[in-house]
Amino acid sequence: MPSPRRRSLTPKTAPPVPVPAEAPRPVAVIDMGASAIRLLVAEAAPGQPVRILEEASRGVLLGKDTFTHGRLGAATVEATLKALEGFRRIMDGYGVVRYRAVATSAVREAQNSDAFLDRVRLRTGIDVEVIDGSEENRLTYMAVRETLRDHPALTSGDTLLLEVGGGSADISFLRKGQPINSGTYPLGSIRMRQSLASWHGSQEQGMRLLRRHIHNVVDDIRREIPLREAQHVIALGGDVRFAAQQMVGDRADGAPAILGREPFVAFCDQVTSWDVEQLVEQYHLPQAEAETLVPALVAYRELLQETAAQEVIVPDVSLRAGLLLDVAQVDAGQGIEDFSRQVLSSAVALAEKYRWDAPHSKKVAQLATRIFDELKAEHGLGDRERLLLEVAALLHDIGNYVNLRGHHKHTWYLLSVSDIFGLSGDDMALVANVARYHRRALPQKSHLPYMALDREARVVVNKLSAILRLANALDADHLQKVKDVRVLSEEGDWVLDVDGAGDLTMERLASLARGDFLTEVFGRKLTFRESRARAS
Amino acid sequence: MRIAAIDIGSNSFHMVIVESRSGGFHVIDREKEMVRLGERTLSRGRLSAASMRRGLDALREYKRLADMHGVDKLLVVATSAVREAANGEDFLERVGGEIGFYPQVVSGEEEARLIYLAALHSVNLEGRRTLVVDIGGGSVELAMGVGPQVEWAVSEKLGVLRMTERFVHSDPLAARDERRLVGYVRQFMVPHAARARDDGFDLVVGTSGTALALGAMATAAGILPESLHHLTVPAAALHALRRRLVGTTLKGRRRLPLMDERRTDIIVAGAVVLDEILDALEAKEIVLCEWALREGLLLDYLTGHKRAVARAEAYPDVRRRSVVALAERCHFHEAHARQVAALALGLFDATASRHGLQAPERSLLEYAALLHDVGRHISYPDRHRHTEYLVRNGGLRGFDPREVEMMALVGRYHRRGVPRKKNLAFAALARPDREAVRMMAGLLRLADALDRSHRGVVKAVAVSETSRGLRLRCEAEGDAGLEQWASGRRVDLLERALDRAIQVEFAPVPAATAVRARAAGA
Repeated sequence: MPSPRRRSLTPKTAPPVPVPAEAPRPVAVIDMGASAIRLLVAEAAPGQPVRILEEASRGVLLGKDTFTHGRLGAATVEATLKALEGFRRIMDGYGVVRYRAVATSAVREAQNSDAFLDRVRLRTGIDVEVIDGSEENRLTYMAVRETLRDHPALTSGDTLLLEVGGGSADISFLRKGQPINSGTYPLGSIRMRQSLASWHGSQEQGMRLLRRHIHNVVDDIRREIPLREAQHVIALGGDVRFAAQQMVGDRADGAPAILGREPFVAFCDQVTSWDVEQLVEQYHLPQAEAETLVPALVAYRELLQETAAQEVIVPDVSLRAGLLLDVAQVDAGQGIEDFSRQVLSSAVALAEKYRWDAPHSKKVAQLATRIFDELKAEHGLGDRERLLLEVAALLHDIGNYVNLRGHHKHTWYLLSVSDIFGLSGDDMALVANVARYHRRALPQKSHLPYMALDREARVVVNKLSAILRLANALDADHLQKVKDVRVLSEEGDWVLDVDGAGDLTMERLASLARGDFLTEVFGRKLTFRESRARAS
Repeated sequence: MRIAAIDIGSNSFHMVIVESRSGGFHVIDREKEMVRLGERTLSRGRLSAASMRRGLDALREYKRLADMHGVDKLLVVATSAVREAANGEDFLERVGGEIGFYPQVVSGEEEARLIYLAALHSVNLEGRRTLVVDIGGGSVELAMGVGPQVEWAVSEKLGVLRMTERFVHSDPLAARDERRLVGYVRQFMVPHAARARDDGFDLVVGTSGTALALGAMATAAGILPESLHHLTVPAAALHALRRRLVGTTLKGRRRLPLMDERRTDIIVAGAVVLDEILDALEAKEIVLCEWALREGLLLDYLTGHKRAVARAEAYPDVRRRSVVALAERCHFHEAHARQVAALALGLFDATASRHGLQAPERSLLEYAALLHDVGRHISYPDRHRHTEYLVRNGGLRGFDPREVEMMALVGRYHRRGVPRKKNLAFAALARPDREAVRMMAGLLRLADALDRSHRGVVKAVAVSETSRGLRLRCEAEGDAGLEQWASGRRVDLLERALDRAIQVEFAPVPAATAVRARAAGA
């Protein structure tokens, strides 16, 4: 059974079979978290809201095994298999043909995850995809966007979306609902708690250290994300949901809880004045939750204080809800434009950080995607690869920020350690390689980052970087003299039919020189022709 | 900061050497030589051996002059002759190999933009829409703009050397040759002129040798001003001059007043080209401008490198200047970086008898401390590794590769990890350098912890020997809780490197006799 969206460039399954568009079709999503495995079956029809048909959940403590022993134990694996077999029967009962099953950190970080996932597939026929942090963020963002569809936080103005988890805090900055900036910061509640464990002073001093640490990290975040510009704050995560529940009670209708700035700060201050024993007693919390509550709330509080927001919005969203939207969107053939927009706006934000030459990079991106489209029949690549090419083209010169000399290698380095909203680690490795080969040496067996890709990804890198090299040559001068380009096939060779203005001597020489790789990859000779008659 | 700009033109080479001064510059020296690099190149598409030799000789001389003036930055561009020659690359390679700098080939449009910039800064344009016309040896550039905004810029292969070689086959110029030349120029210029007229312009500015020479001759009747700069020449006078030049033989032209002897052969084509352009534009007059490509190049550099130029004025020492440049580029926490550098040097001095490192390592430690956190600009996780990368690749100047590598590794190990030989870069260092890196990383790690809160609370550090090891006494102003907590966790590497247990203690700054940690650098 095919998974609905290819997350990596290694297609595991055949492309989706086209199905008549009208009839609502049942789809399913499965989310394997740290403490439970959950199933959602829903009906999605194009243009209609998703209707939930069935929900199921089984408590399986995957996280406990992984986080304490580094691997999943036999009993836990068996419990997982049982749960998934049950889910499988439910899915079959509804006639589900499309699903997406994902696992997060509990499986991602387990040493025996490969063997585990293989057993799942053999026993239940369910293909589970392990997603990384960036995909988790993207899915959560989709759920938030759906829940708060008409809220000003997503339609106008600047918004901070934050989630303080156990290991780290994920923070995104949205402008008119589009993610501009995102990052992961060392504000995880469990981690902060642990590093303070070596402190043997009083509770009061411990709190001071904690605040100071959070202050320092917030200082750093402020350098990357314009916190002060945020007019809205959307907060996710168990600890802030707890605060919302205490402050405004349970919301039956699933509407988001809205907490005023002052009351929220007051609540945090009250909670932080108690020690763990008092919290356990006061709120009947388990010890583990009480321990993380204070660091998490201090982090939310300090971040909120940096913004201009007058309230904290706490929506009731889950990874599952985002997954379901993603599946429904892909099913309806939408999604790629929306997804592209988010990815590109995040790529542009990264480019700005490294002070790009915007007109040049945008021109190269335009020409590269144009050549990609012209050669569609030759390269056989799809929308996702086109998007990755566009990202690589926008960012191909950022290495100049480090040093002009060898800047293509610096571009690789910067991209290999950067995040772009919506792109997985595998995607980024590919983009970094494509950008790296925009000039100078061609891919070689001695290049480790290139060889670290699997064979199929290497082929994609070759094709895309060959196109990027040529597109870059067409703006050799960085003056955007070339308006457009077409690739015509004449007697087996390719003619670059270039529509441009002015003296194109440099562009001509550069294209012919740097079209070398394209010729090697596709086996076609290149010639250059100016399509516009001179001096009309 | 002293800067030289060299323009490798098709007809002439120019060099101007300037001293930057608060955003502008002051000219120290100028050189000009009619090398005629484009001679026969423009028609044949290759630089001849003789042209290359002339070019190399001239550039060698320029380099010598630049060195004599102690130039910090050399800007070199080459235009159409090199741009178009099939063996232009060979020429550039030879310039690089034999003389030691690599000229940048600029396109005609870029050339036009830079020339416009020169006119903008030297002619009183008063916000008028201006068309700048530059007639060179190989090409003619037009740039239209208002104030700092260039609206469009074009370049056509109509330079005087090229036109002379192609059309001037008679002396005096035969009517047939002139007709063909005019037809050729109009073919390219009429569309641009029409566009310029449609856009509307208030002023035509002419730059470069040909326009200046013609302007001088056309106004020769009166008293020639000291400088041709900003002189307004009526189009009618230029037209009359053209008629006169076309009707005169080479020999006769030599005797004309103010005729520049080196230009007698190419001045006829120049007069026709300029007159035709003004005619197509329907312009009544042209304002001469002595600044051209090389000045534009300087202005462009100065605007693009304001910080670098200001820095050069502030830090005469190239090492410190380039360290600060990299740190600023990465938005470093300046106060924190300086405090860590001061603390690291304080610790270095206080433990000098134990570690035995000398002044060269001391200065590397200071630079590494100033740069220790630059990696966080790339991303927060693994920022020490990003620091290593930026220090190694960030183009630091004034250091040899071994020194750069040592600073990079000190940056790498300032937060965590123990330098070991399984790190190949570390293993590649000589043994004494490895020990120095380990020691410096230990000192820096502790110094960084002593400013954990980034508030500069630790004012002084004193080291004393005890029976159990070393005792570090830190005098702090205000709450040093975070420093105390962090230093306990970050003293490990220094203990290992010094092979001594280290006890870190904190005390408030005594009222009167605080021994301050020595402030680092500037």
